[in-house]
Amino acid sequence: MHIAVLAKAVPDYEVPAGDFELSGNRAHERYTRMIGLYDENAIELGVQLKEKYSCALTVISYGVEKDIKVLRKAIAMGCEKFVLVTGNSDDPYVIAANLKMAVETLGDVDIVLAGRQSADMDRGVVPGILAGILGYNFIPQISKVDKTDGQWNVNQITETGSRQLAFEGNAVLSVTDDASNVPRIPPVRRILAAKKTPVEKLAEIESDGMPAREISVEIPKMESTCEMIPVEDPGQAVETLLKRLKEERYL
Amino acid sequence: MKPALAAICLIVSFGYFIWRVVYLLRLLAVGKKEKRYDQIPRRLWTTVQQSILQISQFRVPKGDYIYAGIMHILIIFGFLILLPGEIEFIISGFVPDFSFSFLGTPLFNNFLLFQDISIFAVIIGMMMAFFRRFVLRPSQINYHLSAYLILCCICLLMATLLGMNALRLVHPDEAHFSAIAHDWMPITTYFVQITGISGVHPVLYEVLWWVHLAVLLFFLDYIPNSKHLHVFTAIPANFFRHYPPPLVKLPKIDFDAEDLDSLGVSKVEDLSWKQLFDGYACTECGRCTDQCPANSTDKALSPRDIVLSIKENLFANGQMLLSTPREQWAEADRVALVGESIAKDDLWQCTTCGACANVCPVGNEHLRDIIEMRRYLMMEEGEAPELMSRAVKSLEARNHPFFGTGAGPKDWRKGMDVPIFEEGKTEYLLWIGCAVTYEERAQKIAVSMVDILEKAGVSFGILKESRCTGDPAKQMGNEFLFNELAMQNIEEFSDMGVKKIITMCPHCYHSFTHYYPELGGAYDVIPHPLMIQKLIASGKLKIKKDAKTITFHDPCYLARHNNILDEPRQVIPALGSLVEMPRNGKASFCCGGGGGNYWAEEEGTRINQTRAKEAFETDADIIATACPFCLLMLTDGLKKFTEDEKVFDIAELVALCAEDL
Amino acid sequence: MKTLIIEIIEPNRLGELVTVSKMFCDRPDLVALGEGVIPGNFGKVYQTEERIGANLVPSLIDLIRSKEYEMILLSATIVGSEIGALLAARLSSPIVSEVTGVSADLEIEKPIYGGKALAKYRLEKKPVVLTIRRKYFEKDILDGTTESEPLEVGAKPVSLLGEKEEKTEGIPLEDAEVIATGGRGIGAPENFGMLRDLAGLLNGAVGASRGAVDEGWMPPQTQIGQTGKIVAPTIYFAIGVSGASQHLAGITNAKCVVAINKDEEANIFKRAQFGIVEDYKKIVPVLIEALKAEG
Repeated sequence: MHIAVLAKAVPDYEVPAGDFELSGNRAHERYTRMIGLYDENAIELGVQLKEKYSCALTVISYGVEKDIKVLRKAIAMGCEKFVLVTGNSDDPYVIAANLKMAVETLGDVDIVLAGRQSADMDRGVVPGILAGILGYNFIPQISKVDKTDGQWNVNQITETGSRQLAFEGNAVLSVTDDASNVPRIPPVRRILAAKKTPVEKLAEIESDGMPAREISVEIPKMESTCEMIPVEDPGQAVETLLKRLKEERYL
Repeated sequence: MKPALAAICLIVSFGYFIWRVVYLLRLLAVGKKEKRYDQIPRRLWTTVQQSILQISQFRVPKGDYIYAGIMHILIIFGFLILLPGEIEFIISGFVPDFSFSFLGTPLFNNFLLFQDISIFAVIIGMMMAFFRRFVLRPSQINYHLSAYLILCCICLLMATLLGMNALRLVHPDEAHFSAIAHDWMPITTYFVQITGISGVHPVLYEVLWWVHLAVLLFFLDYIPNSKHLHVFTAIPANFFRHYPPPLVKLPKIDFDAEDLDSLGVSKVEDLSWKQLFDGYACTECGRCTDQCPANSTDKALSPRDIVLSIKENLFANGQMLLSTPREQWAEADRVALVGESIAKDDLWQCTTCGACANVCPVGNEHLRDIIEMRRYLMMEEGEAPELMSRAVKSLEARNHPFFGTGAGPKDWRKGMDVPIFEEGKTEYLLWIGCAVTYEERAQKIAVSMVDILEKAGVSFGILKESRCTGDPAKQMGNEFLFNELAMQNIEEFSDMGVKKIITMCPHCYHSFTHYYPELGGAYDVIPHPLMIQKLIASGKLKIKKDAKTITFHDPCYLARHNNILDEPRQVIPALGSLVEMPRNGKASFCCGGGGGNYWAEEEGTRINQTRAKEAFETDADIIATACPFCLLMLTDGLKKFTEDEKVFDIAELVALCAEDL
Repeated sequence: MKTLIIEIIEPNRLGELVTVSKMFCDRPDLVALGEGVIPGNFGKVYQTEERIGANLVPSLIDLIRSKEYEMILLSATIVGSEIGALLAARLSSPIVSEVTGVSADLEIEKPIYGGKALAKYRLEKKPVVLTIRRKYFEKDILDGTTESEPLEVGAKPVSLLGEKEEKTEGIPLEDAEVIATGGRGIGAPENFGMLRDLAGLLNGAVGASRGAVDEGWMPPQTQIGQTGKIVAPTIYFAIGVSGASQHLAGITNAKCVVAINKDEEANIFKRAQFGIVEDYKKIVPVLIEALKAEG
């Protein structure tokens, strides 16, 4: 069994809105780079599956070389191999085409796991496009995976609950966060070992981008002054709050 | 008959004693090697002061400790002086009627005098001990049966000695002894007078003699099986202890080493021989636990239990360790040190304040044990309390532990024109540190300090972007992350030519001073109270005195860990009048923010509220401190008692009162 | 532009998509997923009981190609996630997900960087696929009903083994006028009981931030935020919630945010209209009592 996990380095997604700035239509380069939030859930799920089924686990990323040290965390968490397709496009079609090339280069990938949404572009479309061009099944918002008797069973989180789905063959699964896939803190030994793991670098391929043009990226103005209610006496504070809510006709 | 029987008793008793001591030494060899014989003259002199002259008893001036210190001086000096008497006693088992009278005047006379006084001193000591255990009842000592057993043994020893001496005093055949004793053994003589002993009682004397021998030998053999081992181990413990500064030194881990065996401590063999020896030296006095801020606020952590649990774990696994080859220890069946002998939760409650290490009369290294076990949990198991883990993750990701902060790295200096450090142009680097950058209340410390340095005409600059020294990671046990952050800083400082650093946080000061040099970064580091004091003393800064009363909370990492107590106390009188809290200086009570516990949900009574209450009860107008974590913790803690904002950093106070020159 | 909406039969969701479609056409067509009567006035309606996106895609592609649809609209829900990208890949279409703004000349707006920035794109080829974020568009009043014809669905590579519904007591989050949300600061699952009491008194619903969900204290269906539910209540109580931008993205259109957090530096206070810096355990019970007293 061979599982591939997609991971992407993004700018710090916890920068407070007050400190967030752009340069050249993208987040300023001063922000620390890190693996996306949902990507880490996907890596964690991948590592759990590796531990359960003793399968091979490869992390695939499309990105730039300077992000390699950030992506090594995936290895420290448990991935054995690291494939990087070098390129810096943000276009979902270009990214998907290159990830497809990487998957096909590996040759024997059964399942591709991905985070449900990247923490920078917030799109969640690349995994689906990848599945489409690979001809794999695609199921988003997965929390659990297991394989029994040649059939894959997954648990999908929906707006109203969950669905248990099954399929055979290959699939791309996008992973959502769940109490069962909180990303592990890698032990320091693994971090040290990950530094020595070789990175297989693939050159990006020519591919058509999405027929769309980015016009602008702006930071919307967030004006709000918060009326702080004094709290020496909780009873008084509550009274003031209710009074104000009524005055503003919210209640 | 008597010599033969005495000989048998001695051989059996000494034989067991040696066998047991050899066992203890073999167990000690389980620990890692560690060099503790540098600075020998200093070690010798300090050992004499602390161990023999008993200065170690009075480091923290608490009433109960002083009482116990005096009591212990009586007992220990009593015993030391009685030792030659015991030798005389034992020889008399083989050579009938042996005595040291051949020494002649004045040696023998004084010998008898000192024996007499010593018996009395020890009896007083015993009375003090029983009074303490039954009436005073301090909470930190052990009220086990073994303690009473020993006290009774000692009482018996003194009683039998007194008895034998009294009988000899009145014995008609002992005229020579009697004559001298009447003048030179006043207490025994008085005892004879008031009890009216007279005549010859050979059987009673023999009974007393054998009881004394039995108890003495029992005591000897009991020593290596009880806390009384400290009788022998306290002196070497003080010799081999770690000598400040700093108060506690954590060992360096070389992450690039080929044979990296264990990160941190999870088993007894991961500790050094000295850390194992601590268990042998521990007198179970309980002062460490008594001084511990976590323990004082109903938490389970007890530094004494840490040291004793290590010892118990060593004993529990002793057979296995001594009979199995070292390579097989990892897989062998054993009682786990971390998790079984010591509860993991306890380890996280430590604020690393160092009160335990400061008060311990035998120089035990409880704090080092705790941090080394945290290292194992953090770095090998990836286990840590939730909020601490988030702080560590934030440190990894964005170079500061203050997850959830709404502040950006430059917010503290918005609207200010602060010089940037440039080699050759600026003398000092003013290191901002993470707490001051990202916590709104603490940002004022930096603003004040910039103001002070500019007014005093000091040449300084800051880094464009503030970050953390890595110290919180170190305290929480993630030594790897600390190394990474430190190396980043060292590289940058090297590129920029930084040589002198002013810190506004004692934790930063501590890491720069004690842990950066071994990673390649040696700088001249000045904590800000010292800088301010120097500027005032040299006239570069003039302060207008105010009429307010100020109490000073000594940050643990200035006063206890680094012996910096005087300089803030030289600055405060320039601002107002100083009022001391009951626990001040090196006996200062922690604010609760260290050891990563700034990011913790505290159980039980809150440490910061406890200290804030103490400060509040001095009725001082202002509570001053010199650490951003103390500032934040005390500000929060004080809210329980008053709405007034009374907590300020010393820099803020000085900036308010500084005159433009 | 010939517009096709693909959605489950739920009037709020359908209504929002119809509003968007009205920018491009008079009457959109609809692929309705599920059984039941179709509310609203649509052109053609194709209906199927199949709810798994992977199984629907081949038939949808055939339909889109044969009928030459130019605009495909889905909601940014699991329907959109399952279907949108697969359609786009097969049709080589531009696709924009989580859309919050649309213009007739195909200028599309969507938030990025966790909601901290807004990106605008112009789409240059049809058909286009858009997944529309909930609650950003007013729902169209769906008058009348439309007859449907069945949509043939071929092979089904993914099978449904089972389905679990999270019982939401009371009003669903998307419809609630008052929401009380708990974050990591709540501390323990049982403390959500207090929030339920509060919400109950105001005829509202209880939500959770990602932090509380990751702890396992609340089910993922209650998660409010960029990857959870997007809500637009009149009053939003953010209790023990730090206010990360991804969470705030879920409440952009909430009218009044009341934040209760013991950390005065929490980011939520930058979004809130009213703030109380205190341990929620001291405030919420008092608030509950005050509301009870008012009747």
